[in-house]
Amino acid sequence: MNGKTNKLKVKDLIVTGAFAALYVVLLLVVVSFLGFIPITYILVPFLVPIILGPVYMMYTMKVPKFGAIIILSAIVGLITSMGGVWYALLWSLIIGTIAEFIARMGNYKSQKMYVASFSVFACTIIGPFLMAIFAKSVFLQSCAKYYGQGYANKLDALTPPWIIFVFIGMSLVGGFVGANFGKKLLRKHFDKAGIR
Amino acid sequence: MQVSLSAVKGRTKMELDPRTKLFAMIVVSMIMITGDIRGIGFYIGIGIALIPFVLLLISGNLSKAIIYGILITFSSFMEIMVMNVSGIANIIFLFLSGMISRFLPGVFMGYYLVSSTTVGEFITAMKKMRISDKIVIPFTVMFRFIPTIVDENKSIGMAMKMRGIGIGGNRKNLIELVEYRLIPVIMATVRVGNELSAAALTKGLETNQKRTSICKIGFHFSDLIVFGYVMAGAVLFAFNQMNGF
Repeated sequence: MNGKTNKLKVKDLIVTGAFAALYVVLLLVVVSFLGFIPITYILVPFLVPIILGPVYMMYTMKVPKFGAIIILSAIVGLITSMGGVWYALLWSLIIGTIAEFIARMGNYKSQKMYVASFSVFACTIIGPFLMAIFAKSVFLQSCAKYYGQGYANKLDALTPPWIIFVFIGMSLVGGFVGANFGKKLLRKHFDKAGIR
Repeated sequence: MQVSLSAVKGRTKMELDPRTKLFAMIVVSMIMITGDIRGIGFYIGIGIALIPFVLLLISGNLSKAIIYGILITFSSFMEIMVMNVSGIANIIFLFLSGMISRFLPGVFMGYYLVSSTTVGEFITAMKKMRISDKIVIPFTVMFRFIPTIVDENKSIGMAMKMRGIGIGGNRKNLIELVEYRLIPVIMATVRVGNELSAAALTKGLETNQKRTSICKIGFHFSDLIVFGYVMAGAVLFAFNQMNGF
């Protein structure tokens, strides 16, 4: 591994693309799988980071350079903002930058810092839910206009404003668990095989 | 089914610049997702929803165009039929058909974009828009790579089923279930990522010189038509939103 330079090279960018694809596919698959059942749908911010943790840990291990996490967050943000929620991209970038600097504090070596970094990064998943606080009244109005007041009221009752903090808390914990799960898995499978 | 930026050019009747496709995709998905479905907005919606259908048809992808046409007609019909009703079942139904009719055009535009553009064209167009390598390369690799992952995942699923690891298998441990599916996929990603890096080195992506390309990227008459149509839709849409019909 070329750990000499800290700048992203083309090789790193390609690995970034590959891992971003994996991250996005898993994200979409797991979310749509869990989304079928209302109870697990609420648990999405907690469960998804647990699955994605190993991917993130492997990715940061392969590309331990400044900018890698921000690029991943930009891609995740673009995917999550596809539903027309433009805050999601901004939110993802902010979260990604914070996660990047946490990883940087550990000099891109410290496993503990990577665990902390993923706990924060996991919050990118709640981007689409941000609508629940920022643009709720507008959103409900348009819902009432298209689908009738009954639908809007149901939606209103389902999403009290404080739920976003529950989601943030869930994804922080989920990220922490996921990162540790990933650390364990990678140690078990990849250290033995010599892929690092 | 090839859902990626293709490496080789297929037979296409009409050439569109990737930038036009990108612009059309953004406008279509924005209008369909945030748009109104009553009054004049309904007709704008129809006009916009036709774009992916026509483009897919012209690019010679008849089966996808028909699938899209049937799905979009059915779901928007459903959405209008059950509008303004209450009751849980109806709300769920409405939500589903609304989601489909709103997201489908954007999704199929995305499909059209990646299925009718080669990697070289895409990169050249992005470069012309002065977008940094740091965004272009990961994005290109990502779109190219997603079908590979889906493919690998299918094979891994089959292999694991053979060993009785799966939801119906004799190993019921949830963590093991995740582990045995996830680790091979990560392995595959690392391996293919390395291979792609080697391929990129041979193609000279690493040099800091200006890239040349044999792809001819430029705007033609067909671009003008599509651009004009999309633009007209966008202006009508904005006008309609402001006036509230």
